[in-house]
Amino acid sequence: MTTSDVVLVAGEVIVDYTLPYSGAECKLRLGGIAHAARGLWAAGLDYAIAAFCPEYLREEAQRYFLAHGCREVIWLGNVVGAPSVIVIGDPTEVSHQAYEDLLREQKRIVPEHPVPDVKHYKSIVVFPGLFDINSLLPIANPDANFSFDIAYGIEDLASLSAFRGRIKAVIISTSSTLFLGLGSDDVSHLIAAIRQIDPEVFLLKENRGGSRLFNLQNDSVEQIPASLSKTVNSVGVGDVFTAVMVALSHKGWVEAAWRGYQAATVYSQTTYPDDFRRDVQRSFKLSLQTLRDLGGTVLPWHVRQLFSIYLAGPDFSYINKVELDRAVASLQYHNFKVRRPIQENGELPRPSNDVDRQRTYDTDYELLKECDMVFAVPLERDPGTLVEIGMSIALGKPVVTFDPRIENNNTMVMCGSIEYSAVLDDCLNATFNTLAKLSERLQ
Amino acid sequence: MGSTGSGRFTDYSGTKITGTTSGSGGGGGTSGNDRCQQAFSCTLEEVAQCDYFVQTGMVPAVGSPLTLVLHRRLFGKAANGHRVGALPTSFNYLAACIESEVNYAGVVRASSNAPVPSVTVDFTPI
Repeated sequence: MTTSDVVLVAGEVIVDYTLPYSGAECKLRLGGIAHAARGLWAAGLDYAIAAFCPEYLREEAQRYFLAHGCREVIWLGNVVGAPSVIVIGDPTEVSHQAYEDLLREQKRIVPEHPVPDVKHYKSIVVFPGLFDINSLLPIANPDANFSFDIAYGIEDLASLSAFRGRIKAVIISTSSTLFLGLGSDDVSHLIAAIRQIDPEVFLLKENRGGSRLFNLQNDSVEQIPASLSKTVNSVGVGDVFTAVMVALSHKGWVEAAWRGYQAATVYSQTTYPDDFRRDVQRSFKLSLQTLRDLGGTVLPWHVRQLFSIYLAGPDFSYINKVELDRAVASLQYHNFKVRRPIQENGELPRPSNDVDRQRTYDTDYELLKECDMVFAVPLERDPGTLVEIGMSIALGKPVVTFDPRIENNNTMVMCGSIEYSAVLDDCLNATFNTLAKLSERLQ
Repeated sequence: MGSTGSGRFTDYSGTKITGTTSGSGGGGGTSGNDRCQQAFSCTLEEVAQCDYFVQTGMVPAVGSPLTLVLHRRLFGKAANGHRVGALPTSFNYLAACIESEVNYAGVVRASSNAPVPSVTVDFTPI
Protein backbone atom coordinates (compact mmCIF):
# COMPACT_ATOMS: atom_id res chain seq x y z
CA MET A 1 0.00 0.00 0.00
CA THR A 2 1.33 3.44 -0.88
CA THR A 3 0.88 6.49 1.25
CA SER A 4 -1.67 7.71 -1.26
CA ASP A 5 -4.00 5.10 0.28
CA VAL A 6 -3.31 6.35 3.76
CA VAL A 7 -5.50 9.07 5.19
CA LEU A 8 -3.69 11.76 7.13
CA VAL A 9 -5.54 13.02 10.18
CA ALA A 10 -4.62 16.59 11.06
CA GLY A 11 -5.56 18.44 14.22
CA GLU A 12 -4.85 18.76 17.91
CA VAL A 13 -4.11 16.07 20.45
CA ILE A 14 -5.67 16.83 23.78
CA VAL A 15 -6.61 15.02 26.97
CA ASP A 16 -10.25 14.27 27.65
CA TYR A 17 -11.18 14.01 31.28
CA THR A 18 -14.75 12.97 31.98
CA LEU A 19 -15.97 13.78 35.45
CA PRO A 20 -17.47 10.96 37.48
CA TYR A 21 -21.24 10.95 37.59
CA SER A 22 -23.92 8.73 38.98
CA GLY A 23 -23.17 5.17 37.89
CA ALA A 24 -19.83 5.91 36.24
CA GLU A 25 -16.32 6.64 37.41
CA CYS A 26 -14.05 9.30 35.98
CA LYS A 27 -12.50 8.64 32.61
CA LEU A 28 -9.18 9.78 31.17
CA ARG A 29 -8.41 9.37 27.48
CA LEU A 30 -6.41 10.91 24.74
CA GLY A 31 -8.83 13.11 22.88
CA GLY A 32 -8.90 15.46 19.92
CA ILE A 33 -7.80 13.54 16.85
CA ALA A 34 -7.16 10.43 18.97
CA HIS A 35 -10.85 9.65 18.58
CA ALA A 36 -10.52 9.63 14.80
CA ALA A 37 -7.40 7.48 15.14
CA ARG A 38 -9.25 4.90 17.20
CA GLY A 39 -11.99 4.78 14.61
CA LEU A 40 -9.57 4.21 11.74
CA TRP A 41 -7.68 1.57 13.69
CA ALA A 42 -10.90 -0.24 14.61
CA ALA A 43 -12.03 -0.14 10.99
CA GLY A 44 -8.70 -1.62 9.86
CA LEU A 45 -7.80 1.47 7.83
CA ASP A 46 -4.35 2.88 7.28
CA TYR A 47 -3.72 6.33 8.65
CA ALA A 48 -1.08 8.75 9.81
CA ILE A 49 -1.22 11.65 12.24
CA ALA A 50 -0.17 15.26 11.79
CA ALA A 51 -0.71 16.96 15.11
CA PHE A 52 -0.37 19.99 17.26
CA CYS A 53 0.38 18.65 20.70
CA PRO A 54 1.85 19.95 23.96
CA GLU A 55 5.39 18.78 24.57
CA TYR A 56 4.56 16.91 27.76
CA LEU A 57 2.07 14.72 25.93
CA ARG A 58 4.06 13.84 22.81
CA GLU A 59 5.84 10.72 24.00
CA GLU A 60 2.65 9.20 25.34
CA ALA A 61 0.59 10.24 22.33
CA GLN A 62 3.13 8.84 19.88
CA ARG A 63 3.26 5.55 21.76
CA TYR A 64 -0.52 5.40 21.76
CA PHE A 65 -0.94 6.13 18.05
CA LEU A 66 1.76 3.68 16.98
CA ALA A 67 0.19 1.00 19.17
CA HIS A 68 -3.08 1.55 17.34
CA GLY A 69 -2.21 1.20 13.70
CA CYS A 70 -0.75 4.62 12.94
CA ARG A 71 1.85 4.61 10.15
CA GLU A 72 3.57 7.84 11.11
CA VAL A 73 3.24 10.68 13.58
CA ILE A 74 4.22 14.15 12.37
CA TRP A 75 4.37 17.00 14.87
CA LEU A 76 3.16 20.22 13.33
CA GLY A 77 3.47 22.34 16.43
CA ASN A 78 3.46 22.75 20.15
CA VAL A 79 0.61 23.91 22.35
CA VAL A 80 1.66 26.22 25.16
CA GLY A 81 0.00 28.23 27.87
CA ALA A 82 -2.58 25.58 28.66
CA PRO A 83 -2.50 21.86 29.47
CA SER A 84 -4.77 20.91 26.55
CA VAL A 85 -7.13 19.18 28.94
CA ILE A 86 -10.86 19.24 28.33
CA VAL A 87 -13.12 18.43 31.25
CA ILE A 88 -16.37 16.84 30.18
CA GLY A 89 -19.45 17.11 32.32
CA ASP A 90 -21.92 15.02 30.36
CA PRO A 91 -20.39 12.25 28.23
CA THR A 92 -23.80 10.96 27.16
CA GLU A 93 -24.83 14.26 25.55
CA VAL A 94 -28.37 14.16 26.81
CA SER A 95 -27.90 17.90 26.72
CA HIS A 96 -25.00 20.26 26.22
CA GLN A 97 -21.82 18.31 26.92
CA ALA A 98 -20.43 21.05 29.17
CA TYR A 99 -16.90 20.95 27.75
CA GLU A 100 -14.36 22.98 29.70
CA ASP A 101 -11.10 23.56 27.83
CA LEU A 102 -8.87 24.47 30.78
CA LEU A 103 -7.02 27.76 30.46
CA ARG A 104 -8.32 28.06 26.90
CA GLU A 105 -7.88 31.84 26.82
CA GLN A 106 -4.15 31.41 27.41
CA LYS A 107 -3.69 28.61 24.91
CA ARG A 108 -1.32 29.27 22.01
CA ILE A 109 0.00 27.29 19.07
CA VAL A 110 3.73 27.39 18.31
CA PRO A 111 4.44 25.85 14.89
CA GLU A 112 7.43 23.54 14.46
CA HIS A 113 10.65 24.89 12.97
CA PRO A 114 11.53 23.77 10.45
CA VAL A 115 8.01 23.08 9.30
CA PRO A 116 7.60 19.39 8.44
CA ASP A 117 5.89 18.54 5.20
CA VAL A 118 3.10 16.06 4.69
CA LYS A 119 3.54 15.75 0.95
CA HIS A 120 3.36 11.94 0.99
CA TYR A 121 -0.35 12.07 1.72
CA LYS A 122 -3.08 12.61 -0.83
CA SER A 123 -6.08 12.52 1.47
CA ILE A 124 -6.12 14.77 4.52
CA VAL A 125 -8.96 14.99 7.01
CA VAL A 126 -8.74 18.08 9.15
CA PHE A 127 -10.25 18.65 12.57
CA PRO A 128 -9.84 22.40 13.02
CA GLY A 129 -8.87 23.84 16.36
CA LEU A 130 -6.81 26.77 17.48
CA PHE A 131 -4.24 26.36 14.71
CA ASP A 132 -4.36 28.15 11.37
CA ILE A 133 -5.80 25.68 8.88
CA ASN A 134 -4.22 27.60 6.01
CA SER A 135 -0.82 26.58 7.38
CA LEU A 136 -1.54 23.12 5.99
CA LEU A 137 -1.66 24.27 2.37
CA PRO A 138 2.05 24.96 1.77
CA ILE A 139 3.17 21.73 3.42
CA ALA A 140 0.66 19.48 1.65
CA ASN A 141 1.07 17.76 -1.68
CA PRO A 142 -0.35 19.98 -4.47
CA ASP A 143 -2.58 17.06 -5.45
CA ALA A 144 -3.81 16.37 -1.96
CA ASN A 145 -7.50 16.73 -1.23
CA PHE A 146 -8.95 17.88 2.07
CA SER A 147 -11.97 17.04 4.17
CA PHE A 148 -13.02 19.17 7.09
CA ASP A 149 -14.99 18.32 10.19
CA ILE A 150 -16.13 21.77 11.23
CA ALA A 151 -17.91 20.89 14.45
CA TYR A 152 -15.36 23.08 16.24
CA GLY A 153 -12.71 25.60 15.40
CA ILE A 154 -14.37 27.23 12.39
CA GLU A 155 -16.44 30.35 12.91
CA ASP A 156 -16.92 31.25 9.27
CA LEU A 157 -17.07 29.00 6.21
CA ALA A 158 -15.13 31.62 4.30
CA SER A 159 -12.06 30.52 6.23
CA LEU A 160 -12.07 27.38 4.05
CA SER A 161 -12.11 29.35 0.81
CA ALA A 162 -8.39 28.84 0.17
CA PHE A 163 -9.10 25.12 -0.18
CA ARG A 164 -11.83 25.57 -2.77
CA GLY A 165 -11.52 22.99 -5.54
CA ARG A 166 -9.65 20.60 -3.28
CA ILE A 167 -12.35 19.81 -0.74
CA LYS A 168 -13.89 16.36 -0.77
CA ALA A 169 -16.15 16.52 2.25
CA VAL A 170 -17.42 19.00 4.79
CA ILE A 171 -18.90 17.54 7.92
CA ILE A 172 -20.81 19.37 10.62
CA SER A 173 -22.84 18.44 13.66
CA THR A 174 -26.05 19.96 14.93
CA SER A 175 -24.19 20.47 18.22
CA SER A 176 -21.88 23.04 16.69
CA THR A 177 -22.34 26.77 17.04
CA LEU A 178 -21.65 27.19 13.33
CA PHE A 179 -24.64 24.99 12.52
CA LEU A 180 -26.83 26.80 15.04
CA GLY A 181 -25.92 30.09 13.41
CA LEU A 182 -26.27 29.04 9.77
CA GLY A 183 -28.60 26.08 9.55
CA SER A 184 -30.69 25.71 12.64
CA ASP A 185 -33.83 27.22 11.12
CA ASP A 186 -33.43 26.05 7.54
CA VAL A 187 -30.82 23.63 6.28
CA SER A 188 -30.95 25.15 2.80
CA HIS A 189 -29.17 28.25 4.10
CA LEU A 190 -26.34 26.12 5.35
CA ILE A 191 -26.15 24.11 2.14
CA ALA A 192 -26.02 27.29 0.10
CA ALA A 193 -23.10 28.49 2.20
CA ILE A 194 -21.34 25.13 1.93
CA ARG A 195 -21.71 25.22 -1.87
CA GLN A 196 -19.55 28.33 -1.92
CA ILE A 197 -16.54 26.22 -0.99
CA ASP A 198 -17.51 23.49 -3.46
CA PRO A 199 -17.04 20.16 -1.67
CA GLU A 200 -18.18 16.89 -3.21
CA VAL A 201 -20.35 16.04 -0.22
CA PHE A 202 -21.68 17.58 2.93
CA LEU A 203 -22.56 15.43 5.94
CA LEU A 204 -24.92 16.78 8.58
CA LYS A 205 -24.72 14.73 11.75
CA GLU A 206 -27.98 15.12 13.66
CA ASN A 207 -27.10 13.34 16.87
CA ARG A 208 -29.77 10.82 17.93
CA GLY A 209 -31.90 11.69 14.93
CA GLY A 210 -29.49 10.23 12.35
CA SER A 211 -27.45 11.93 9.63
CA ARG A 212 -27.96 13.28 6.15
CA LEU A 213 -25.38 13.02 3.42
CA PHE A 214 -25.86 15.70 0.77
CA ASN A 215 -24.06 14.92 -2.46
CA LEU A 216 -23.53 18.37 -3.91
CA GLN A 217 -22.42 17.02 -7.28
CA ASN A 218 -25.60 15.15 -8.11
CA ASP A 219 -27.96 16.74 -5.54
CA SER A 220 -28.89 13.42 -3.97
CA VAL A 221 -29.51 13.00 -0.25
CA GLU A 222 -28.82 9.80 1.67
CA GLN A 223 -30.64 9.47 4.97
CA ILE A 224 -28.72 7.48 7.53
CA PRO A 225 -30.53 6.53 10.74
CA ALA A 226 -29.27 6.51 14.29
CA SER A 227 -29.12 3.27 16.19
CA LEU A 228 -30.17 4.28 19.68
CA SER A 229 -29.00 2.30 22.63
CA LYS A 230 -27.47 3.04 26.00
CA THR A 231 -24.86 5.74 25.48
CA VAL A 232 -21.63 5.04 27.34
CA ASN A 233 -19.59 7.94 26.03
CA SER A 234 -20.52 10.17 23.14
CA VAL A 235 -17.28 12.16 23.14
CA GLY A 236 -15.47 11.80 19.82
CA VAL A 237 -18.25 9.76 18.23
CA GLY A 238 -18.66 12.32 15.47
CA ASP A 239 -14.92 12.31 14.80
CA VAL A 240 -14.99 8.55 14.30
CA PHE A 241 -17.86 8.96 11.83
CA THR A 242 -15.94 11.57 9.88
CA ALA A 243 -12.60 9.76 9.76
CA VAL A 244 -14.01 6.40 8.71
CA MET A 245 -16.26 7.97 6.10
CA VAL A 246 -13.44 9.94 4.51
CA ALA A 247 -11.04 7.00 4.60
CA LEU A 248 -13.59 4.78 2.85
CA SER A 249 -14.70 7.34 0.28
CA HIS A 250 -13.12 5.23 -2.47
CA LYS A 251 -16.07 2.85 -1.94
CA GLY A 252 -18.43 5.68 -2.86
CA TRP A 253 -19.73 8.29 -0.47
CA VAL A 254 -22.95 6.48 0.36
CA GLU A 255 -21.33 3.28 1.55
CA ALA A 256 -18.56 5.26 3.21
CA ALA A 257 -21.09 7.24 5.21
CA TRP A 258 -22.92 4.11 6.34
CA ARG A 259 -19.64 2.56 7.48
CA GLY A 260 -18.80 5.74 9.34
CA TYR A 261 -22.18 5.54 11.02
CA GLN A 262 -21.53 1.95 12.05
CA ALA A 263 -18.16 2.74 13.58
CA ALA A 264 -19.55 5.79 15.36
CA THR A 265 -22.45 3.80 16.78
CA VAL A 266 -20.11 1.25 18.31
CA TYR A 267 -17.82 3.99 19.63
CA SER A 268 -20.71 5.49 21.59
CA GLN A 269 -21.27 2.20 23.35
CA THR A 270 -17.85 1.32 24.70
CA THR A 271 -14.55 2.93 25.66
CA TYR A 272 -12.65 -0.37 25.56
CA PRO A 273 -10.59 -0.31 22.34
CA ASP A 274 -10.52 -4.04 21.73
CA ASP A 275 -14.27 -4.33 22.23
CA PHE A 276 -14.68 -1.40 19.87
CA ARG A 277 -12.51 -2.95 17.17
CA ARG A 278 -14.15 -6.37 17.47
CA ASP A 279 -17.64 -4.94 17.18
CA VAL A 280 -16.74 -2.65 14.28
CA GLN A 281 -15.17 -5.52 12.37
CA ARG A 282 -18.24 -7.61 13.02
CA SER A 283 -20.64 -4.90 11.95
CA PHE A 284 -18.74 -4.31 8.71
CA LYS A 285 -19.72 -7.83 7.60
CA LEU A 286 -23.25 -6.53 7.02
CA SER A 287 -23.99 -5.41 3.49
CA LEU A 288 -25.12 -1.91 2.69
CA GLN A 289 -28.54 -3.27 1.72
CA THR A 290 -28.87 -5.06 5.06
CA LEU A 291 -28.02 -1.86 6.87
CA ARG A 292 -30.65 0.03 4.97
CA ASP A 293 -33.23 -2.67 5.63
CA LEU A 294 -32.51 -2.76 9.34
CA GLY A 295 -33.28 0.93 9.61
CA GLY A 296 -33.18 2.81 12.85
CA THR A 297 -34.22 6.17 14.19
CA VAL A 298 -34.67 8.97 11.68
CA LEU A 299 -35.71 12.34 13.03
CA PRO A 300 -33.92 15.21 11.31
CA TRP A 301 -33.23 18.33 13.34
CA HIS A 302 -35.68 20.45 11.39
CA VAL A 303 -38.51 17.90 11.57
CA ARG A 304 -38.46 17.87 15.37
CA GLN A 305 -40.14 21.26 15.57
CA LEU A 306 -43.18 19.83 13.76
CA PHE A 307 -44.16 17.91 16.88
CA SER A 308 -45.22 19.23 20.25
CA ILE A 309 -44.24 17.56 23.48
CA TYR A 310 -46.47 18.23 26.49
CA LEU A 311 -44.40 18.54 29.63
CA ALA A 312 -46.34 16.93 32.46
CA GLY A 313 -44.71 17.73 35.75
CA PRO A 314 -44.78 20.02 38.77
CA ASP A 315 -43.17 22.86 36.87
CA PHE A 316 -43.96 25.21 39.75
CA SER A 317 -41.81 28.01 41.03
CA TYR A 318 -41.97 26.79 44.62
CA ILE A 319 -40.62 23.23 44.39
CA ASN A 320 -37.19 21.71 43.89
CA LYS A 321 -37.38 20.51 40.29
CA VAL A 322 -33.79 20.36 39.15
CA GLU A 323 -34.37 17.07 37.31
CA LEU A 324 -37.36 18.49 35.47
CA ASP A 325 -35.32 21.51 34.40
CA ARG A 326 -32.55 19.18 33.22
CA ALA A 327 -35.06 17.21 31.15
CA VAL A 328 -36.42 20.39 29.56
CA ALA A 329 -32.88 21.57 28.78
CA SER A 330 -32.16 18.22 27.20
CA LEU A 331 -35.26 18.29 25.00
CA GLN A 332 -34.61 21.86 23.94
CA TYR A 333 -30.94 21.13 23.22
CA HIS A 334 -32.16 18.53 20.74
CA ASN A 335 -34.52 21.07 19.15
CA PHE A 336 -37.76 19.59 20.42
CA LYS A 337 -40.76 21.83 20.85
CA VAL A 338 -41.58 21.52 24.54
CA ARG A 339 -44.95 22.86 25.62
CA ARG A 340 -44.93 23.76 29.32
CA PRO A 341 -48.54 24.24 30.48
CA ILE A 342 -47.64 25.92 33.73
CA GLN A 343 -45.33 28.35 31.97
CA GLU A 344 -47.73 28.96 29.10
CA ASN A 345 -51.04 29.09 30.96
CA GLY A 346 -49.77 30.51 34.20
CA GLU A 347 -49.08 29.20 37.66
CA LEU A 348 -52.09 29.30 39.94
CA PRO A 349 -51.70 31.38 43.07
CA ARG A 350 -52.04 29.53 46.34
CA PRO A 351 -54.81 29.47 47.37
CA SER A 352 -56.75 29.92 44.13
CA ASN A 353 -60.43 30.25 43.40
CA ASP A 354 -62.71 27.89 41.53
CA VAL A 355 -62.84 30.06 38.43
CA ASP A 356 -59.07 30.15 38.07
CA ARG A 357 -58.81 26.42 38.69
CA GLN A 358 -61.40 25.61 36.03
CA ARG A 359 -59.78 27.94 33.53
CA THR A 360 -56.39 26.35 34.16
CA TYR A 361 -57.78 22.85 33.88
CA ASP A 362 -59.47 23.68 30.58
CA THR A 363 -56.46 25.37 29.00
CA ASP A 364 -54.05 22.67 30.15
CA TYR A 365 -56.34 19.94 28.88
CA GLU A 366 -56.68 21.67 25.51
CA LEU A 367 -52.91 21.95 25.29
CA LEU A 368 -52.53 18.29 26.16
CA LYS A 369 -54.91 17.35 23.35
CA GLU A 370 -52.94 19.51 20.90
CA CYS A 371 -49.64 17.82 21.66
CA ASP A 372 -48.26 14.74 19.93
CA MET A 373 -46.74 13.07 22.96
CA VAL A 374 -46.22 13.58 26.67
CA PHE A 375 -42.96 13.76 28.55
CA ALA A 376 -43.82 13.24 32.20
CA VAL A 377 -41.62 14.01 35.19
CA PRO A 378 -43.81 13.12 38.19
CA LEU A 379 -41.58 14.57 40.90
CA GLU A 380 -42.94 14.27 44.43
CA ARG A 381 -45.71 12.04 43.06
CA ASP A 382 -47.41 15.19 41.91
CA PRO A 383 -51.11 14.25 41.57
CA GLY A 384 -51.69 16.61 38.65
CA THR A 385 -48.90 14.95 36.70
CA LEU A 386 -50.23 11.47 37.44
CA VAL A 387 -53.70 12.50 36.26
CA GLU A 388 -52.17 13.92 33.08
CA ILE A 389 -50.36 10.65 32.48
CA GLY A 390 -53.67 8.80 32.81
CA MET A 391 -55.50 11.22 30.54
CA SER A 392 -52.77 10.90 27.91
CA ILE A 393 -52.90 7.12 27.95
CA ALA A 394 -56.67 7.27 27.55
CA LEU A 395 -56.27 9.71 24.65
CA GLY A 396 -53.84 7.30 23.00
CA LYS A 397 -50.92 9.69 23.25
CA PRO A 398 -47.48 8.19 23.80
CA VAL A 399 -46.13 8.90 27.28
CA VAL A 400 -42.48 8.83 28.26
CA THR A 401 -42.08 8.93 32.02
CA PHE A 402 -38.83 10.16 33.52
CA ASP A 403 -38.87 9.28 37.20
CA PRO A 404 -35.42 10.27 38.46
CA ARG A 405 -36.28 9.74 42.13
CA ILE A 406 -38.07 6.45 41.45
CA GLU A 407 -41.15 7.62 43.32
CA ASN A 408 -43.74 6.32 40.87
CA ASN A 409 -42.78 2.73 40.12
CA ASN A 410 -46.42 1.84 39.97
CA THR A 411 -47.87 -0.70 37.55
CA MET A 412 -50.20 1.71 35.79
CA VAL A 413 -47.52 4.35 35.36
CA MET A 414 -44.84 1.93 34.24
CA CYS A 415 -46.94 -0.17 31.90
CA GLY A 416 -48.96 2.73 30.57
CA SER A 417 -45.83 4.58 29.52
CA ILE A 418 -43.96 3.54 26.43
CA GLU A 419 -40.83 4.22 28.47
CA TYR A 420 -40.48 4.46 32.20
CA SER A 421 -36.98 5.13 33.49
CA ALA A 422 -34.96 7.00 36.07
CA VAL A 423 -32.31 7.58 33.39
CA LEU A 424 -32.70 10.62 31.16
CA ASP A 425 -30.67 8.98 28.38
CA ASP A 426 -33.32 6.22 28.12
CA CYS A 427 -36.17 8.73 28.10
CA LEU A 428 -34.49 10.86 25.48
CA ASN A 429 -34.00 7.83 23.23
CA ALA A 430 -37.66 6.90 23.69
CA THR A 431 -38.69 10.43 22.74
CA PHE A 432 -36.62 10.27 19.56
CA ASN A 433 -38.02 6.85 18.70
CA THR A 434 -41.61 7.89 19.38
CA LEU A 435 -41.50 11.02 17.27
CA ALA A 436 -39.52 9.25 14.54
CA LYS A 437 -42.36 6.75 14.23
CA LEU A 438 -44.96 9.51 14.15
CA SER A 439 -42.93 11.30 11.50
CA GLU A 440 -42.66 8.13 9.42
CA ARG A 441 -46.43 7.66 9.53
CA LEU A 442 -46.95 11.19 8.27
CA GLN A 443 -44.77 10.61 5.20
CA MET B 1 -19.22 -0.54 29.82
CA GLY B 2 -16.28 1.85 29.86
CA SER B 3 -12.70 1.84 31.08
CA THR B 4 -12.05 4.20 33.98
CA GLY B 5 -9.43 5.98 36.03
CA SER B 6 -7.35 9.13 35.88
CA GLY B 7 -3.82 8.15 36.91
CA ARG B 8 -2.65 7.23 33.42
CA PHE B 9 -3.93 6.30 30.00
CA THR B 10 -5.19 2.77 30.25
CA ASP B 11 -7.18 2.17 27.11
CA TYR B 12 -4.41 0.45 25.17
CA SER B 13 -5.33 -2.42 22.94
CA GLY B 14 -4.22 -5.75 24.30
CA THR B 15 -3.88 -4.71 27.93
CA LYS B 16 -5.68 -6.43 30.77
CA ILE B 17 -8.12 -4.88 33.17
CA THR B 18 -6.09 -3.53 36.07
CA GLY B 19 -8.79 -2.30 38.40
CA THR B 20 -11.81 -0.09 38.38
CA THR B 21 -11.33 2.13 41.40
CA SER B 22 -11.67 5.77 40.56
CA GLY B 23 -8.28 7.36 40.14
CA SER B 24 -6.39 4.08 40.11
CA GLY B 25 -5.92 3.99 36.39
CA GLY B 26 -8.16 0.98 36.03
CA GLY B 27 -9.17 0.04 32.54
CA GLY B 28 -7.65 -2.08 29.84
CA GLY B 29 -8.15 -3.04 26.25
CA THR B 30 -11.25 -5.10 26.72
CA SER B 31 -14.12 -5.35 29.14
CA GLY B 32 -14.05 -9.12 28.88
CA ASN B 33 -17.66 -9.05 27.74
CA ASP B 34 -19.00 -9.78 24.30
CA ARG B 35 -22.50 -8.44 23.79
CA CYS B 36 -23.17 -11.11 21.14
CA GLN B 37 -22.78 -13.68 23.89
CA GLN B 38 -25.15 -12.01 26.30
CA ALA B 39 -28.74 -13.01 26.96
CA PHE B 40 -31.33 -10.29 26.64
CA SER B 41 -35.05 -9.62 26.92
CA CYS B 42 -37.18 -7.49 24.70
CA THR B 43 -40.75 -6.63 23.91
CA LEU B 44 -41.44 -7.26 20.25
CA GLU B 45 -42.83 -4.58 17.98
CA GLU B 46 -45.44 -4.71 15.22
CA VAL B 47 -46.91 -7.93 16.62
CA ALA B 48 -50.37 -7.18 15.19
CA GLN B 49 -48.89 -6.80 11.69
CA CYS B 50 -46.75 -9.96 11.76
CA ASP B 51 -47.91 -13.16 10.15
CA TYR B 52 -48.26 -15.15 13.39
CA PHE B 53 -51.00 -12.85 14.71
CA VAL B 54 -52.47 -12.20 11.27
CA GLN B 55 -52.81 -15.94 10.63
CA THR B 56 -53.96 -17.07 14.06
CA GLY B 57 -55.51 -14.00 15.65
CA MET B 58 -53.48 -14.80 18.75
CA VAL B 59 -50.07 -14.28 20.23
CA PRO B 60 -47.88 -17.24 21.24
CA ALA B 61 -48.47 -18.60 24.72
CA VAL B 62 -46.03 -18.03 27.56
CA GLY B 63 -43.27 -20.62 27.29
CA SER B 64 -43.43 -20.91 23.49
CA PRO B 65 -40.01 -21.26 21.86
CA LEU B 66 -38.86 -18.63 19.35
CA THR B 67 -35.76 -18.15 17.25
CA LEU B 68 -34.17 -14.92 16.14
CA VAL B 69 -33.95 -14.37 12.40
CA LEU B 70 -32.75 -11.62 10.09
CA HIS B 71 -35.30 -11.05 7.34
CA ARG B 72 -34.52 -7.48 6.39
CA ARG B 73 -35.26 -6.60 10.03
CA LEU B 74 -34.69 -8.77 13.09
CA PHE B 75 -37.72 -10.89 13.95
CA GLY B 76 -38.70 -13.38 16.58
CA LYS B 77 -39.91 -16.45 14.68
CA ALA B 78 -42.18 -19.19 16.01
CA ALA B 79 -41.62 -22.91 15.55
CA ASN B 80 -44.24 -22.93 12.76
CA GLY B 81 -42.11 -20.47 10.79
CA HIS B 82 -44.35 -17.46 11.34
CA ARG B 83 -42.85 -14.17 12.38
CA VAL B 84 -44.18 -13.09 15.77
CA GLY B 85 -42.77 -9.57 15.99
CA ALA B 86 -39.84 -7.34 15.19
CA LEU B 87 -37.07 -6.47 17.60
CA PRO B 88 -36.70 -2.80 18.45
CA THR B 89 -33.98 -1.19 16.37
CA SER B 90 -31.86 -0.74 19.51
CA PHE B 91 -31.10 -4.44 19.03
CA ASN B 92 -29.81 -3.97 15.48
CA TYR B 93 -26.32 -4.90 16.65
CA LEU B 94 -27.56 -8.49 16.78
CA ALA B 95 -27.62 -8.58 12.99
CA ALA B 96 -23.82 -8.49 13.05
CA CYS B 97 -23.82 -11.23 15.68
CA ILE B 98 -26.00 -13.43 13.48
CA GLU B 99 -23.73 -12.64 10.53
CA SER B 100 -20.88 -13.90 12.70
CA GLU B 101 -22.80 -17.15 13.17
CA VAL B 102 -24.09 -16.56 16.68
CA ASN B 103 -27.63 -17.89 16.98
CA TYR B 104 -30.27 -17.19 19.60
CA ALA B 105 -33.08 -19.21 21.14
CA GLY B 106 -35.96 -17.45 22.81
CA VAL B 107 -38.82 -18.23 25.14
CA VAL B 108 -41.97 -16.15 25.44
CA ARG B 109 -41.96 -14.68 28.94
CA ALA B 110 -45.19 -12.71 28.69
CA SER B 111 -47.83 -12.29 26.04
CA SER B 112 -51.22 -10.69 25.66
CA ASN B 113 -53.81 -10.31 22.90
CA ALA B 114 -55.36 -7.14 24.33
CA PRO B 115 -55.56 -4.20 24.56
CA VAL B 116 -52.90 -4.50 21.87
CA PRO B 117 -51.09 -7.72 20.96
CA SER B 118 -47.80 -7.83 22.84
CA VAL B 119 -45.06 -10.39 23.31
CA THR B 120 -42.04 -10.22 25.59
CA VAL B 121 -39.24 -12.70 24.95
CA ASP B 122 -36.08 -13.85 26.72
CA PHE B 123 -33.35 -14.68 24.20
CA THR B 124 -30.15 -16.59 24.89
CA PRO B 125 -27.19 -17.21 22.58
CA ILE B 126 -26.81 -20.88 21.64
